[in-house]
Amino acid sequence: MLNLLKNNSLSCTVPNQSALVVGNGLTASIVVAAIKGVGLDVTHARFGSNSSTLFHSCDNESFITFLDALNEQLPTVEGPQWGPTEIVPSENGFVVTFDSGESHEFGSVFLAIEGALKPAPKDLPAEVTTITPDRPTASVVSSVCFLLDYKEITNPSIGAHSIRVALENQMAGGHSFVLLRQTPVKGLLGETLYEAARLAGVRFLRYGTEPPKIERLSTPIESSARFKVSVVDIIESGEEISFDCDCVFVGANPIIERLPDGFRNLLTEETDQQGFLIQDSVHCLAGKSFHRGVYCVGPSSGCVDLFETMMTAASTAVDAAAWLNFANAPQSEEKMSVTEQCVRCLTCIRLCPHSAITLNAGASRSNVKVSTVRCMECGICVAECPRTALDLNSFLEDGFSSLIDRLKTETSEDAIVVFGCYRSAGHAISEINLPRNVIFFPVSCAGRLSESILSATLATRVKGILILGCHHGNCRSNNGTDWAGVRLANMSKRLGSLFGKVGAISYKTLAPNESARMLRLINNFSGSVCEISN
Amino acid sequence: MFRFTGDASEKNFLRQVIDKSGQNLLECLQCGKCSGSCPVASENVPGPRQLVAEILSGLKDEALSNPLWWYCVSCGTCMTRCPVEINMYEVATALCEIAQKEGVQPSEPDIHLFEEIFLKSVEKYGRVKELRTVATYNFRTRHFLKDMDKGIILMRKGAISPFELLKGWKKDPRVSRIFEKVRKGGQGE
Amino acid sequence: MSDHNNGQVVIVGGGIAGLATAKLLSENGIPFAIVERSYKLGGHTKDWACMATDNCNRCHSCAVFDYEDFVTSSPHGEILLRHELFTVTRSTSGLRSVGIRCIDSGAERELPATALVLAVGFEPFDPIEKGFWGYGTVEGVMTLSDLNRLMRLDDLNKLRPDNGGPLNLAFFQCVGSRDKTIGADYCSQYCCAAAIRAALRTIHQYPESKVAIFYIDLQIVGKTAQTLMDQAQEKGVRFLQGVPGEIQPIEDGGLQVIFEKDGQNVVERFDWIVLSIGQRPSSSATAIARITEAPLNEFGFFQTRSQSDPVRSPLNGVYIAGSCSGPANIPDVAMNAGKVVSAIIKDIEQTI
Repeated sequence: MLNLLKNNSLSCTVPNQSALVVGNGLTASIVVAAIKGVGLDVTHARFGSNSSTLFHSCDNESFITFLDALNEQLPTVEGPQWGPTEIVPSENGFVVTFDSGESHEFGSVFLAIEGALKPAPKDLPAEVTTITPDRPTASVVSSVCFLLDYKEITNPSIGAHSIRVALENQMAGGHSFVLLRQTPVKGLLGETLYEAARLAGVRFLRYGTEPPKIERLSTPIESSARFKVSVVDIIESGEEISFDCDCVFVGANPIIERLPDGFRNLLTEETDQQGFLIQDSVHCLAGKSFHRGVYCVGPSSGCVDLFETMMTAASTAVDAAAWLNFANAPQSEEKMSVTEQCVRCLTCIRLCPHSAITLNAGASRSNVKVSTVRCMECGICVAECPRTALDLNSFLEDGFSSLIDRLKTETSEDAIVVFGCYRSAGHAISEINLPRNVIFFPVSCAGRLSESILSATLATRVKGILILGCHHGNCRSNNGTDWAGVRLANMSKRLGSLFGKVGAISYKTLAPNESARMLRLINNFSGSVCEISN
Repeated sequence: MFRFTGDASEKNFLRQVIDKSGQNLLECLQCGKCSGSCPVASENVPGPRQLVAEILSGLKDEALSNPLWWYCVSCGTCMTRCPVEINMYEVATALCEIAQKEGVQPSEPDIHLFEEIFLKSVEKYGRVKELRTVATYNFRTRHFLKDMDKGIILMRKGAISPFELLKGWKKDPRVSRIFEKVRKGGQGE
Repeated sequence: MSDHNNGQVVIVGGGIAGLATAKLLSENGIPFAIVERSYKLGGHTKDWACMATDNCNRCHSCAVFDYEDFVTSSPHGEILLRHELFTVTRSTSGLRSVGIRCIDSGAERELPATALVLAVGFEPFDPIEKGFWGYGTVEGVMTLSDLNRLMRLDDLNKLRPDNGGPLNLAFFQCVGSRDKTIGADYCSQYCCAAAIRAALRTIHQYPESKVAIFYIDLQIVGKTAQTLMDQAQEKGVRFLQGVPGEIQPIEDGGLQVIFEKDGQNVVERFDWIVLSIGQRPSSSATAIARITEAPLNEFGFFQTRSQSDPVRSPLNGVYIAGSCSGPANIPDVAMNAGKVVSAIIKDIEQTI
């Protein structure tokens, strides 16, 4: 099927030298421009209607001029309307089947949709509205109050926008209040704005755990005052301060209202703790998804700052170019081998965190195919393959076998084995001197250590096994390190009856710069194991 | 409870303090270093940061009844620590002037009397004669035994001597002349 | 893209910014050379400790190892340790070559260069400059990087009292930043989150520890901000607005600080005070600016063209990467590197 698709895709000469941008509005245009800038082909698929932008400005007039100039410069790319569509990772790109039935292959996929803002919190009076790029405007001289960090930290770009409007209102003779818990701005420019607002006399009130109280005045005392705000400022004596104002605006962060079809599967588990796309993993910097070749830019990843979005767009475009460079380069050798033992149970396909394994459906006999480009050689699939049909070419199963053979004969009575991920423990070990009784064995990922390897190792003369994975959230293969933890927990339950080695196996997490801690972990483990056996 | 009215008087008070003191309080970051290092701030006397906050809010009455600036000893520590170089001594002086003009009662009601006795002592003897100054002050405020405990400690340490009372004091006409000059010319050299 | 290039990109500085730029250049087939003064790559990030508790807390300090691995094994690049820039030769349109010199031998070399990336990083603020912090004179006062060193060497237990009890620690934010008196009236961007992570890490290791963070304004932004704050609140980290002005040693060996709380001065005792030191312009920025003629801004950081073009120097062919254009944390530096490389690619394609 894959091969058929490849032959059919006619969008450009090198099929996966191109990127697909799905989105609407300014974000999508910025991304398209950035991708063009690094010399890639781009197809822009429109998603929904052109919704208004969420970008807040922190520098008024030049921002609007800039926005207009940007809009003029940006390419207007005609593309298909994004309908119910399927995106499937292929060997070195993505096969996209449009609802017309037509298929194209793209090297990388960008999600660049405009988000929406959360509604104002329900416990505030209904007249309190959220801060949007065009509301409030500073044209009306009045007393205005901005409520930031209410329930959650307000996005600094929205904070900066509020302060700019507060400043303008103040300059025009109005009265501005900003209620906040944390710095509402980001960066040097934000800092300058914050200072300017302070100098102009905008009143900043810091509240603590006690949220400000906002009451709607039923019968306005003065002609315009509509709200009474009471707040306990943590700097002034802790007494309540109150004031009346004409309008109250609350900072609300963006949310993802609707995800284009096809992305839901592509971005499984790809949300951070606040529900934005692109998870918190250290490998998902600056708009990079955990899946190579998938990117997410703009409000849907929680960013409503125009300049930061432009930065992310440029950064992801470069990364996409790098990925396509890599994906299209001839790969010298296969990274994995699949033997005849394979019964096509698809366990490996389900487990692979890099979408590197696909089923090559054939008329007579289908087989499992490993993408040399996508495979990161973690070996999670090898560890879980029920038929031991898979093997990593760079970290062969034979390596473990010969280690175990050696452990059976050559080791001393008090030997312990430390299996460590080459990314973390492999680095950390270079700076320490291992105790004599410790044998260190680097592995491709802690998730590579199958129960059979661990059992076989324990069955030798060794006193114990210490597994060193990467910290949760830092594993290059997303959940490899967690797999190691799960296997260890399973094994620990059975250990006593199997080998009489209770506590002989332990799992810890480590970073490459934790050499000293690694040594302590090893010494502690070594100590505890020897204590048990004595 | 404080209440902002947004009246012109709130803004005017802030402007007045800034103009009089020459210190741009609007730059204040509310970092609190001044309060933490102020030698006169205590459980009863709030630190400079709160005073600045009151002035910034235009809370004139609160600021003028804040005892801090009456106590200010112009040591300048707050200014040395301040990241935006606000000199609170100048602010205290400005508040003093405003308070005097508006007839605000000082937080220490007899402070003007003390100042008067203090200066008299300097004029007469060229320096403060502590024991005499304190004795006169206590006599005139009818708090005869006030700070007696501290006085005894000071005597024990030799900081003040009861024999001074017996010996009498030597006058220093040079300082008196300076005072005279100031009174005449309005301005000292 | 590799066939488009007739020369290499010279990167001055082998810290995280230089490495991140080099990695992306290399991945795009653009040859590069890293010129680094010291004996090792990685810069300040290498001195930083991992801040993971049960989870990775996204301090990104380990990213430097991935970058370094990639860059040192790249076929497109050359790494020149113990070398410094001493001259820049320009052509009418841009750059022609740069002259570098070996610091140890004094040997000079000419490197052809299509672009010059300045990634000279920052200088940590030295709190000795402001005596009242007591750094270097009062025992128990240290900087955030001292604390990191202890953590990296797994020596956090040295901070525990003799009876092995919990740690009693306070962080002072904005030391050497947001301070007009030293020309640093900017926020250093990284310290709030770094202090919170260090607090969490300390509590993770010694759960009974008492940690207070004295701040002016908490500037933690970005995706992990809310998560970090929630964690800190849950673990009982105390956030106190206002930074004490003085640290005094007391007789039992502790440190006494006075700060204002609810309008009253409060005295509290801590065992250790950690100064969250800000980022100051690199000590070599002035020299590099003189050699390259790339202008500096009012704070002493390298000037960039505009807010929308934060990586190009006003000087053609010169790019500014990482914290030498202003304080930044590691994720920002990594993103900035992407922008630098995208600008270089665009400019190279335009000249061809």
